Amino acid sequence: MNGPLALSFGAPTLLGWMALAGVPILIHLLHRQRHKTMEWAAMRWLMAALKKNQRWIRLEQWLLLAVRTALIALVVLAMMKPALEQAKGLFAVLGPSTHHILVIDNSLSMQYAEGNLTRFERAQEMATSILDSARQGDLASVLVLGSSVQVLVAEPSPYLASVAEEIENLTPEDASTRIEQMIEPLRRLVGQSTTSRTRVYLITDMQRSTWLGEGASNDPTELRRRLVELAGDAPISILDTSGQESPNLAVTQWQAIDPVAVDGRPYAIRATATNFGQTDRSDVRVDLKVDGEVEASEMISLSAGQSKNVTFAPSLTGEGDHTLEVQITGDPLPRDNSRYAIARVRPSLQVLLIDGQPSGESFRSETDYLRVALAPASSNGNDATGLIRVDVARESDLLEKNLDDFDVVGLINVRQITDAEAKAVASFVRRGGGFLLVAGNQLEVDSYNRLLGSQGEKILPVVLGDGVGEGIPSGSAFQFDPIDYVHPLVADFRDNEQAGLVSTKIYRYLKATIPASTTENESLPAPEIALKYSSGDPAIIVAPSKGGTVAILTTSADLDWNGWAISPSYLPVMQQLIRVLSAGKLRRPDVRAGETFTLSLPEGTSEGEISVERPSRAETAAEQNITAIKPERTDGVTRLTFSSTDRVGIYSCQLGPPADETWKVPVNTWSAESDLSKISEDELAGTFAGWKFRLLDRFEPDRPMGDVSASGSESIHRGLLYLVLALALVEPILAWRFSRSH
Amino acid sequence: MESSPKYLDPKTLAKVKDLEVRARRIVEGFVSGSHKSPFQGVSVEFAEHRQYTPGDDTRHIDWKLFGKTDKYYLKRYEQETNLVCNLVIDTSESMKYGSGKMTKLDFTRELAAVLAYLVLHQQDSVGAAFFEHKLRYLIPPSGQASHMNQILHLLAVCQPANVTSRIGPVLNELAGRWTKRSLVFVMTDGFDDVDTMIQGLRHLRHRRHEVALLHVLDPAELDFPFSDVTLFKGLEGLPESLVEPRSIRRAYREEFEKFRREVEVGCRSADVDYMLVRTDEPLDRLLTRYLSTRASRRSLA
Repeated sequence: MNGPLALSFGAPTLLGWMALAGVPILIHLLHRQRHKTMEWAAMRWLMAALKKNQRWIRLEQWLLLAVRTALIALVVLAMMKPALEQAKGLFAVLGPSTHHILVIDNSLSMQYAEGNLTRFERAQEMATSILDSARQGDLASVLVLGSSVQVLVAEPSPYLASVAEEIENLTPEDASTRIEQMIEPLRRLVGQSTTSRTRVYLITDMQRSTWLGEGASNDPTELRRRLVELAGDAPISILDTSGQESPNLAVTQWQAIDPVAVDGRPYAIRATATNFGQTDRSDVRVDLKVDGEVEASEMISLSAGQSKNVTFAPSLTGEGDHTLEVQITGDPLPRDNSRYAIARVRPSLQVLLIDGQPSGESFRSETDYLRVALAPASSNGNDATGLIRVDVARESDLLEKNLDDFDVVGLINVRQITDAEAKAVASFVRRGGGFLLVAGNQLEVDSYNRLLGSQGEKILPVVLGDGVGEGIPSGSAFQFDPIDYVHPLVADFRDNEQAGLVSTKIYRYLKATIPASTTENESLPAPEIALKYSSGDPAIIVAPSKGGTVAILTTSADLDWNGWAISPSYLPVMQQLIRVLSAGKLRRPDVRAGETFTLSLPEGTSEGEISVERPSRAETAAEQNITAIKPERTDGVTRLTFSSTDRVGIYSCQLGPPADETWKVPVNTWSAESDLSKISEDELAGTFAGWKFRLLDRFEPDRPMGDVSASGSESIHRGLLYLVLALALVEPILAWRFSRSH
Repeated sequence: MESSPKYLDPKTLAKVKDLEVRARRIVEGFVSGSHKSPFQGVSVEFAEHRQYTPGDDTRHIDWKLFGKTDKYYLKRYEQETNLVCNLVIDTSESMKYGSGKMTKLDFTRELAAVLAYLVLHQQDSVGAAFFEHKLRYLIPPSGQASHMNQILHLLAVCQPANVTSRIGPVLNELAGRWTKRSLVFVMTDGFDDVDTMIQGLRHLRHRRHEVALLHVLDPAELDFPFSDVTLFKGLEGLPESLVEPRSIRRAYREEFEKFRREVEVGCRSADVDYMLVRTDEPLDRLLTRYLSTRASRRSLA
C-alpha cells in the first residue's frame, strides 16, 4: 500500500535556505576544531571514563545534532509551503489517523456504461483506491445515495479491507437521488468521527438533477448553507465518474389512452421516447412487448433533445394482469430504455346502480335511462357491446350487496344515505372502487354532506347545496358548458356540435361548491370539473379519492330535470364516466424506482403474509428476490405496502384467498435520471457560493485529496510548524537531561 | 643555596612556626621534652619534674609528689632520643601537572621544605629520598642545621623525569635501607599501581616506621572543571584524547574517586596515615589539619 513520497513546493526558491540545516553540524565541527590542548596526568581515569561513556556520549551528541538540524530544516521546509503529493506521505505518517467518509452515488444514471465499466463500477474502483491508499490506523464509513441514504458502514471502521469488500458487493439501484439526502446522515457521521482529521469523498457522476433537482424552481439557498456548514467540519472532495459526452435515449412516459382494458378489444396506449443526447438519432426501433412477447414495433427518428410519442393499440386477451413494456433499442444506459405498465383485462365492467325512485313502469324509474345508456340492448335484445354490465338494486339492498363484485357503485337520486351505507361506500372507494352520485328531485343533501363530506368519510369533494332553476321558464333553461373540451370525459365532443352536448336543456340542478379545504388538501388531487352549466356551476365533478374515484352529476339521470337522457351525447358521456370511475379499481399504482407503493386489497383478503417478487437480476438468486410482507388494515381497508422498489420492472404480489391471484405492479425509472447533463465546476461553485470543494475526475493516491486550499499544502504546513514547536521544546530538555546525566 | 628563599617563604614559616608536629606514635625520642620515648620508664633514668600544663598526658603525673605538694608535676627522664623523619618525594612526570600557579611537584617541594625545617627546628633529624621509577637521591637523616641546606638544594634542583613512577618498589627498597625507626612522609600523587604501592607502605610499617601518605593531587584532577573541548595529552606515556569534558565529567569523577578511595582504604588497612593534599590548600591550614588529625588519633589510642 506504500508508494513513493512526492512533495511539491509553493515557494521552491527558498530551497537554498535549506543549507542552514548544516549550521549545527558546522558549529559542531568548528567546536571540535577549536579545542584546547592540555597535558594531563590522570589520563588513566579519563580513558576509563571515556570507555565507559563513549557510546552513550556519541548517541546523545548525534541525537542533539539531529534535533537541531531537523529544527532548522523543518522551519525552512514550512516556509517553502510544501504540498504533500501522496496521501500516505510524510504528513500521513506523522499526522493523526484519518476518518474517510465515502459517499457513493447509486442512482440510475450511475449505470451508464463508458468503455468496459459503468460509472457505478468506476465509483467502486475509486472507493477501493481511496481505502487502499489509506494508512494503517485510518477509519472509514460509507454512505450510499440511492432513493434513500443507506448507511453501509455507520461506525467508523478500522477494517478497511472489509469496508472495501462491502463496497464491492454493492448492487446498482435504478432509483433517483438528491444531494440534500446525504447532508443529515453525513453530518451525523462527521459528528461521530473520533479522529482529528475527517475527509469526505463524494463519488458521483455530477448529474445536474442530482444537484439542482428536476425543475428550475428549486431554491439552492438552504442546500448551499448546509454544504458550507458541512465543509467547515470536514473537507469534501468530489470524484467525477462520468465521461465527456453522454448520449442517451429513454422511454420517459407511458399513458393509457383507454382507461379500461377489455378482453379482446384494442387497448390504446401512448409512450414517449426522448433523445437526451447532443446528436440526432435515426432508425430508433420502438417495440411493444405484451407479456414479454414483441407485439408491435415502430421505427422513429429523434433529433437531439427531441421527444416523440409512439402509439400502440394491442389487443389483449385473457382476464387478468398483462405486462406491457415499451422498449427502444439499446444504448449505454439500458435500464431507462424500457417502460412498464400493467393492463388489468376484464371481460366487462360491473356497475351497481341504486335506484332512489324505482317504478314498475318502463322508463319511469330513476335509473332506466342510465342503465340503457350504459348497457344498450341490441335489436335482438342482447347486450350490444358487452362492455358494461349493470345491476340495478333498491336502496335497501345496498348493504346486502358485496360491493367488491362491482367496479362502480352509483346512488341515483337516493333520498339520503345512512351512516352504515356511507361507511360501506367509503370503504369501497378506498379499495379503488368508483362511486357515482347522481342528483334528483328527492335527494336530501344534508346527509351526503355530513356523512361523506369533510366532516364524515371525506370522499365527497364538493358541498352540495340547494336546487337551482326551479320554476324557471322553459325558454331560459341552462345548457352545458364543455369548458373547451379539456376533460377526457367530453374531449370527443370537440368539433362535434351536432352531437347535442351543448344544446341539451337543463332546467334544474343542485348547486355544488368545491370547498377551499379540498383544493388545499395536498394528499388528494384537486377535483376536476369535467362539465359545467352555462350558469357557471359544476355539472360533472370527477375526483380521485383515497384509492378510487368519485364523480357527481348535479342534475338528474332521467328526464325530470333535463332533456339530456334522450340526447345523443348522453350515452358516450355516461359510458366514458363509468370507464373513468372503473379505472381506480383496475389500475395499478404508478411507481418510480425507490418509491413506496400501496395496494388496497379486496375485502376479506387474508391478513397473512403476502409474498412480493421483485424483478430478477443476473447477480441475485431467484429466492433473494422474494420478500414476504404482512398487510396492514387501516380505515377498514387491508393494504399492502412495499418499499424496496430499487429496481425497475414488474413486481408480482401473490394474494391469498379469497382473491387467490397475482397482482402485478410496474416500477419505472425517473425521467430526470435519464437526462445525463452534468453540472460544471463553475456552475457548482456559483450555485453554492462559499462552499469549498475539490472536483477531480479521478482519484490520485499521491495527491492530498482532503485539502481544499489552492495549494493543498495547508495541513502539512501547519503540521510542520507543530513539529518545529515540538522539537524546539524537546531540544533544551534533551540538552539539559544529557548534561545532567553527565 | 639560591633556592632556599624560594622554599623558605618567611610568611609561611612564621605561620607554621608555632605548630607542633606531633606524631601519633612516638618513634624513638623527644626533642626538648616534646617527643616522648616509647621506652620511657624501662631503660631511662628520671631527670626532673615539670609542672603540669593542660594537654599533658595524665599518665605521667607524679601522684606521690601531688600528695606532698598538692600540685601536679610530670616526671621527666634523662634518656631521650631525637625524632627521625624521612621525606619521600615523588618526582615522576605526573607530578609536573598543575592547573594553577603551582604544579604538584612545586607544592610537594614547598611542603617538604616546611616539614624539614620544622623537624630540624625541633632539634630532630630529617632525611629525604627522591624517586620516580627508581630511587634517585637519598639523603640520610641528620639533625645538623647545615643539613637543611642540602635538602633544600636537592628540592630546588630536582625536576620531574619523563618516566612512570614505580612507588611500591622504591618504598620496598627504602624499607630495606632504613634500619632505624622513623616517621616517614610519602609525598606522591599515587599514579601507579595501587596494590604495589600499598605493599611498599606495608613493608615500611613492618619495619616499624610510622608512615604517613600525603596524597598530593591537583584540584583539577579531583573536580575536572573543564568545559571546552580539550585535547588531553597523557603523561607518563599514556595516549592523547580529544574530549568534550562536560560529557564525561561525572564518569571521570567516579573513576578518579574510586582510585582515591582505593588508596585511602589501602592506607588504613596498612595502618598508614592518609591525608589528601590539594595543591590549592594553604600550607598552614594543611599542617594544622594534619596535626589535629594526628592528635585526635593519639588521644583515641
